[in-house]
Amino acid sequence: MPNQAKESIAKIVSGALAAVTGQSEDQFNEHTDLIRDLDMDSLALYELVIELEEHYHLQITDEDIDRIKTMGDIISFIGRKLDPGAK
Amino acid sequence: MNDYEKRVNQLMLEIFDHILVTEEKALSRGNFSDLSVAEMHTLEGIGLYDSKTMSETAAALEITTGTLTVAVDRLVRKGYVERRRDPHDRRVVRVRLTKKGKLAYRMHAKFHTLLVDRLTNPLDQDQQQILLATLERIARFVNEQYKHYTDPVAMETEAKRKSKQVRTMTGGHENA
Repeated sequence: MPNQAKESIAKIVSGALAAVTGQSEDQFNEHTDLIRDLDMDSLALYELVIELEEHYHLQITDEDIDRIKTMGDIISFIGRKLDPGAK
Repeated sequence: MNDYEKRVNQLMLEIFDHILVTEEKALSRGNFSDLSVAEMHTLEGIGLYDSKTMSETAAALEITTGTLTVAVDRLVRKGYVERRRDPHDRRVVRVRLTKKGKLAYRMHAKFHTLLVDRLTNPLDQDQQQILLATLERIARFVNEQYKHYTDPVAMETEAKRKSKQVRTMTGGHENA
């Protein structure tokens, strides 16, 4: 994924994470674990997913959510969804 | 009814009743306690993505548009659903879930997923297939009964058949 696209997605994801968790955006990085570090439960995870689905007009299934552990996983997932040809 | 039939009957009623009550209690204790099970099913009928017309939603839920209008009014007031006129045809009203509605939908879907997982995970593959085949047979039979008792044409035919039977038995004197 080109760096510019990755940075743009990271900005949106950290904004959504801040809105859902109430924490400041500078607390997050690619390695931030959604459950271990941010203590997100299934309600908070769905809130995040709905924000991102509406922003990017995507559909994120429960199976997709099960594979997402960190903020970096979300960025890669959205990158792949927006550009399925990209590795 | 022999002992086997009694046990089947008892288990079926118990499962039916307890799933309904569990669903209701799980909802009332969760984050969406202002939603009834029927309202949750209306959210399911509307669907997670895209907007639907009122008639599409009513058809999906097998209810009249009048009944749906009352349910949607309540869900709009509670903030779970929004209603808009179709920009291409102002006569058509479309409904869709709000963020709060989507959240309730997904949490409820997760409840059902967990229920099915707990039920099927302890079973091996053969047992899972037997369970599925048996449930499909039960569902086919129950659906036939449901259609029989809810289809107005079938009910009218049945009523005429019974009335004819009574006339035959009483020699044409229905009040005999």
